[in-house]
Amino acid sequence: MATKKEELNELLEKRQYWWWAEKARSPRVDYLRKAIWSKAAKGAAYLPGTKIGGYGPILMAEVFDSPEAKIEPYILTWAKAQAKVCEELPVFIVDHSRIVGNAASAPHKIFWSPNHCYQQNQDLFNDRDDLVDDKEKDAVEKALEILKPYTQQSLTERILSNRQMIMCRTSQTFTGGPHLEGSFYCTSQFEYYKKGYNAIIEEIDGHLAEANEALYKVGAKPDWDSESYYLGQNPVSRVDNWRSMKIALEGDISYSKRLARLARIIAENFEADPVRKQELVDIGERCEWVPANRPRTFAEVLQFEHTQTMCRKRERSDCAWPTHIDWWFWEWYEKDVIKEKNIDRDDAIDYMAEYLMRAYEYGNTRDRAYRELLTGDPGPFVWALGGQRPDGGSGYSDLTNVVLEAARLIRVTSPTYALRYNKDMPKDVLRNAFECIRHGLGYPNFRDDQTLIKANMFWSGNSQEEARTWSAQACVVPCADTKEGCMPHRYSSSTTLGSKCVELALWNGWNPVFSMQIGPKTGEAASLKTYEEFEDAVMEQWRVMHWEAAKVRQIARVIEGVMGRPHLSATREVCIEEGLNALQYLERGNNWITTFIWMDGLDAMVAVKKLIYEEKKYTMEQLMTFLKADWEGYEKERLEFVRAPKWGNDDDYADDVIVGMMERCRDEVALPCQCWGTGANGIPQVPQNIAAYTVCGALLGALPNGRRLGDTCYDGGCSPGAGQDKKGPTAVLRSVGKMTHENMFRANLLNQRLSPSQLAGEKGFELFDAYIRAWSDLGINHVQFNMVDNETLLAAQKQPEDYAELTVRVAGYSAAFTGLNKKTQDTIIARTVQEI
Amino acid sequence: MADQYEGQKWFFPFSDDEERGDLVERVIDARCAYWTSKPVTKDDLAPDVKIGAATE
Repeated sequence: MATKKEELNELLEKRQYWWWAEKARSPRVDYLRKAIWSKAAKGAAYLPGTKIGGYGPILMAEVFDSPEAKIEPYILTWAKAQAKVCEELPVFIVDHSRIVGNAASAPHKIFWSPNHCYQQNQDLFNDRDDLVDDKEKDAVEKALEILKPYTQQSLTERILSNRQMIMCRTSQTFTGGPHLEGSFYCTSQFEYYKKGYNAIIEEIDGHLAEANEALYKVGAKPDWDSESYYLGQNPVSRVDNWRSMKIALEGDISYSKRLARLARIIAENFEADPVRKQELVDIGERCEWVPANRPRTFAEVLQFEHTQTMCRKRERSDCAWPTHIDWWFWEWYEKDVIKEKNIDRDDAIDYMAEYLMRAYEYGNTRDRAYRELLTGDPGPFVWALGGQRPDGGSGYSDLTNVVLEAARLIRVTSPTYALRYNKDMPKDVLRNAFECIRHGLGYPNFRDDQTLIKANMFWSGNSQEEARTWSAQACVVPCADTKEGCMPHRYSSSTTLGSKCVELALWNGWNPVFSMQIGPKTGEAASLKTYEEFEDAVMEQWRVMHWEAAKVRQIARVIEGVMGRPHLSATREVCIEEGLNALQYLERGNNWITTFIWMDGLDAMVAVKKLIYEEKKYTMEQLMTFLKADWEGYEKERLEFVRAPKWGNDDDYADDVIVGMMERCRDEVALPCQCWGTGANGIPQVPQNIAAYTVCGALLGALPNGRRLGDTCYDGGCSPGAGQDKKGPTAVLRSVGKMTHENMFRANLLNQRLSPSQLAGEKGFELFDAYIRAWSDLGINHVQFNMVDNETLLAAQKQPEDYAELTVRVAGYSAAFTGLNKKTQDTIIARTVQEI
Repeated sequence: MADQYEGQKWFFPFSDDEERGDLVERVIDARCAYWTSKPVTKDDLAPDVKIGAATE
């Protein structure tokens, strides 16, 4: 009979990594992995059994409906509402768990943050899947009515123009808008708040005591500078900011103490197993101690950060989840595992696995469109690992390995990891990262650290030391996490649909998909006599798109500043020190605009240059005839456009056109923008796609790269089209390497698919090592890999129940393959498998 | 473990105010088993709720 080790090796040899994970993980981790209610959506629908909790709207409406709320600043009311939720939301502890707490009230529920977008509230309330429990419906409906005027959408639409509102709501050239989408981004300053909340509250009390002295001391000399410093509304006074921050922190502490009490009640009254009873006592002690105080142990720091994040995510869901846990938690790991040996390494992996699963089980409220854009993933949460330390030293450790080893055992789709690659990265870390990819997880993605450090310095004006602290603020954008290195809250999203600018230039500003004139009239296609005139028309359409999205953001930012973010502000040193809320601090701007479906249009421009203006095989009139017919009846001609030079083949003809466009986009559109009065350089693009490359196919009509309305778009931000990269992976890297990744865009995304059989065994690792070195030499900021063969993917389509933990990289995030809709599954199967 | 408590509801008063406390319940759903609690006042309790000892 085979031993467990032999059995595990056999599964690895058969590349059945999901079965390997199930058998290799501890019974506790196995139970907890299967216990998770994933909050991912399939297509646009939450998975069966998922519910949206009513406590958020009901409890917050009580506070917003109070007499005080009518006269006090928004941020103060919001802080009180958050504290009420912390005090009254049901808490729960799942069997076998050791890290506890959740943004929601039950494992299958999602916490509902109701003051963002009233349209989204209506969408969730009326969802055909009955997302709201029947017994809560009346109370929730009433609460949503109360909260509607307090939503960011209501407040923002009051100051937008009709055109801006139409463009936001119809997503013709950019998606949603900050007041509709709610994909916010923040950056954590763990190095500050790790001191514990009581220490921060003490600092706030100190500032409030000084304010009292200046404002209310009997007999004090009037001093306008001092009085206005504390009470000036810009747009919120320092005193109100501090008060709201203190309320938020106290709310978290009381939430944690409630968890501690529940753990003690179970231990004292119900638990018969002495081992579990002790675990519950330990949970109680931890939750009593953190987040109020500085963590003392490895388990405590995991609990601390988890509680902090869950409470912050009730304030705003924050589309991404910026962390750097192998740096942050190292001192506790080193003490407990390496120096004092209070826990062994296997137990540390179990703790880490549970910590990652607690993150995975979190889910946020999204409208149908956004669920579809992130189909298959409750995230994306992209956590940074490793990298160069601020002093230039190497920032990798055994904790980096522990995270990657835990990730292979639990195989969740979020968090995923941005591995900051430097050539001096220890081989064991590289090997662990490679094993994750070989296990088919699609992560970590590789980020060239030196390129991105320079990008931070160029775009955000960071010092080199600051720039080296970066974590991923979203899927791909790096952001320093020091006291003054970033804006604590960046923005809520609005994302341009890049290739639309090419379509609009061909149609003289007319959007043929919506039948609306939305772009400037840059001339009928036939009137554009040279390629340069055509390119100028595209640039003009692009300028209007990018700037309009930026303008909506700038306007929405004013409202966000009034609303503030009490919890996030309370965890940022500069906010505590200066009495500013997270939206008011602007020193280091990190604004960018994500660009979906970008490369299709650029390949289309190459084909126009080649076939129309240079070879003169067709006229613009003929091209427009083809496009108006959506290529129907013109398949021979379409294939000629498909065969024109394409990006990703190290073909200078195509690459020069595309790189030239990227330069113009930076110089003529991105750099002239101003980012909220910060010291940042312009408002750059971030070409990447999540699942927009499938969803947005319906918004983009026929183009001269051969696409038809509804066709799936290119999947990355600088990836070639599926099947268009015909000269191997190195040619792809050479094309992509012609872009200047330090300053042409804020970041970019490259998907590649590698052959699992070629990369088998030790030789496979050596090949991969050499490939990654070549990638880094070209200064490419990002690359991520799928390494699952088509045989497995096709088998999973046929028998999804056997492949529940089969994971793939979509674009910017990973997803359970069987959780994707058929169209997205097919696009992943269609990607070119590269032989290195 | 503890499945004999499924469906039962217990009230654990706060030690400093026995009119208020936590309603504690054992739940077993389709994927996992867990304990849950929410704050309540004693006056609002249903008759079938068992009363536990006052707890810190």
